[in-house]
Amino acid sequence: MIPLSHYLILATLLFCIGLAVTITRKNAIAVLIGLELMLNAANINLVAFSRYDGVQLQGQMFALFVIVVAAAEAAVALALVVRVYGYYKIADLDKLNRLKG
Amino acid sequence: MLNPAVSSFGEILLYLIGGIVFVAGALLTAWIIRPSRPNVEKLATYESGEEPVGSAWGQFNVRFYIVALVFILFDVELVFLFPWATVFGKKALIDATDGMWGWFAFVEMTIFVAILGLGLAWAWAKGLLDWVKPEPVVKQQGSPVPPGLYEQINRTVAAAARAEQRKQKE
Amino acid sequence: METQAPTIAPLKASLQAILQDLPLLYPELTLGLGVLLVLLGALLIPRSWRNEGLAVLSLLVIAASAYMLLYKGLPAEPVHLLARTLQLDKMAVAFRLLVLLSGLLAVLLSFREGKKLAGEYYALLLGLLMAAMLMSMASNLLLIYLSIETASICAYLLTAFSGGREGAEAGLKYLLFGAVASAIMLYGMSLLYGFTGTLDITAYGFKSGLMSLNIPILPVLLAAFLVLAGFLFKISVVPFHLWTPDAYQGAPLPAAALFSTAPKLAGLALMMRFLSHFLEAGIIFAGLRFDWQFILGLLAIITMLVGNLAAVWQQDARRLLAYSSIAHSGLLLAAVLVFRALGYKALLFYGFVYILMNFAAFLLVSMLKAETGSYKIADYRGLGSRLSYSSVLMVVVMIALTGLPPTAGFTAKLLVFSALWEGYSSGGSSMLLYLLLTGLATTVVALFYYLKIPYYLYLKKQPEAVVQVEGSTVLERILAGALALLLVLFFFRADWVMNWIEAFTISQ
Repeated sequence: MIPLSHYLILATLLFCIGLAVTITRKNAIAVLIGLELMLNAANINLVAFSRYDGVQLQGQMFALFVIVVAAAEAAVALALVVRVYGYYKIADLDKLNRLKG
Repeated sequence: MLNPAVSSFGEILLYLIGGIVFVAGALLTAWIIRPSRPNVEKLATYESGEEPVGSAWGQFNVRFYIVALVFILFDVELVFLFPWATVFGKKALIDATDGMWGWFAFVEMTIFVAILGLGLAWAWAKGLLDWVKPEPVVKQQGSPVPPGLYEQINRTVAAAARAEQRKQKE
Repeated sequence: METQAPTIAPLKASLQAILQDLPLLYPELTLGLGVLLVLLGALLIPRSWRNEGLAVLSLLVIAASAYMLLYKGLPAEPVHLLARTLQLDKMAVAFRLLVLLSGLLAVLLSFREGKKLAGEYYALLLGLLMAAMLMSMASNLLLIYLSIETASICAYLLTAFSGGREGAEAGLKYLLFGAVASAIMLYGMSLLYGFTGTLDITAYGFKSGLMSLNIPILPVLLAAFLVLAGFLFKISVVPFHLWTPDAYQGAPLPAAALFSTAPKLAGLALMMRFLSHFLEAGIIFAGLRFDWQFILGLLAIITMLVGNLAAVWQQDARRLLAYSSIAHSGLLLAAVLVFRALGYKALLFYGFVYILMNFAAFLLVSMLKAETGSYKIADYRGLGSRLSYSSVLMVVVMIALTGLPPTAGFTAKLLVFSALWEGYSSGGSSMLLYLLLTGLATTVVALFYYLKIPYYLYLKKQPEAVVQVEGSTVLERILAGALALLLVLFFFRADWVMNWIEAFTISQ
């Protein structure tokens, strides 16, 4: 059987890669991809830990909700990206600087 | 019900074999029945979709996104139906709660699906599901020539061309 | 939603318990039903009176929710609801009432802006309120995550609702910051779940899991901080404040006023609940006592400094209010950190007064915008004599936001400061004293920028005649007058508010 630590290491790596992507990339879509990595890292953790939560499988339940929330968030995000693109013709976050002060 | 000689991995193998047989059977039947009239359009990978060639950063029509977004939402919400379906009709649970369990599960899921249905109806009524064809926008350049004049010229030129063709045929 | 109980026998009992809990959740259920009704109304009501119809419908829904809360939803003693996912105590009731109050004011402010917006605007508003009310009750990591996300997604959409470039840009920025913050929080939650084996932060297993010597202190602290990052984002505490000015500038004005109150107060309630369970566990923490007051106090001090100092340079009235709301977050967080009944009372008083003055300020800015056609503070110069009504009210409200007498803003600040002082003098950490000193110092800074608008209104000369654009409506004038009046009234009659708060005091 694969030990728990392998799942945790995988999740940590995914989370760090996702965080690095969200911080360094300038394209809004790339940032969203990084976000998905972070959410799925948490999902791996939840499902892995859920194995030891014999009775209720709360972690798996949580992961299902996370998947749905992530989809809703991605839908809103993509709708906003499309609108921003419609106005600016770019999806580069550094160049969105109309709001300033 | 299941043959106890089949291990749990054996079940998965059976599913795999069944899946392969099903898909292969469908393709084979279609191949036997259908007439073979290939043309360029039909040989494309997706007959009525985008060519899967070029950079992934290429631009698509924004209407694809809207349909995809609406699809994704309803698609993913259905994830809740799967765990629900495994416990909804369990006789042991229903018996232990004097039928309360069944009503609970039924009402909860009815409310959930009704809200989703309202969402779909709302998207429909708002026209988000219509595949509107873009209308060509006629640019007004502010030139002194009235737009009708161009059409008139076009018509006369076309009429002259047609007359020319007819003459040549004769 | 528990689908599988450990054994069959308690299943019936837990189903019956859920049915019994439902009446206590009627306020939230009313709001949820209201969302659906508003969506239907947006489709069915004819365009000519759609905005008014939906606004009145939302007001009715909020009133019904408040009625349910006050007359049906008051438990005699703290109870756990829905299989221990929600904890309903007096604190939750108080914060839910505050959320409903800010929702009511937000709908009243929306009559003007609503004309330009589609019907879903009100549905999102009600959804945000429902999520904020659940936030102030949630005691289960799953419910905490879901309520925060619901509130956030409604807020992103509301931000983008004003249309145009600003709205879309602000919405996208808000969403990206918010989504990263919530992903970080979620990762922390998954770790806490792993350490304790339960999602219920009130359960015994949660505490004992954290206290167990098997887990080193560093990962537990890391996980707790990751979760707190999500809460701090909702409260807009530095360094999670970057979204605030952009979102406030791009969002419709009533929505911005709502962001600065309802989710923020609910986030504070959530934080108090979370920290109170964590502190009990934290004291024994593998023999080490971790000083939450110090770290969070440091953040509160930085927040007050950044908010107040950055506000001085703002030229746009909305951004000024955004930085002012960041500064207030710092003070509200300080009130939480007292961890005593007095701090809790001060927090409630401050929260109540803050709702009144913040909505008054946003309403007056919206009236000035209607009267001058601009959000730029420089464009208000010399208008004091011509727009005398809104200008006088503006002076009152800005004095209240600064925290000077004779307004309730002064009483609120005084209560927070005295709570900090009492916490310090009765053997608390010296961080409370630093918080108090920073609060006093930044009040002086606040004087500069809050009085900038009255200064421009009265003391600067008007360069040329400004064309009256729309003019404010009667409703707006009455509402602004009433709010300003209340602010002055509660200075002289602070005991009225205090009596109300006493009713919601929890023993700590």
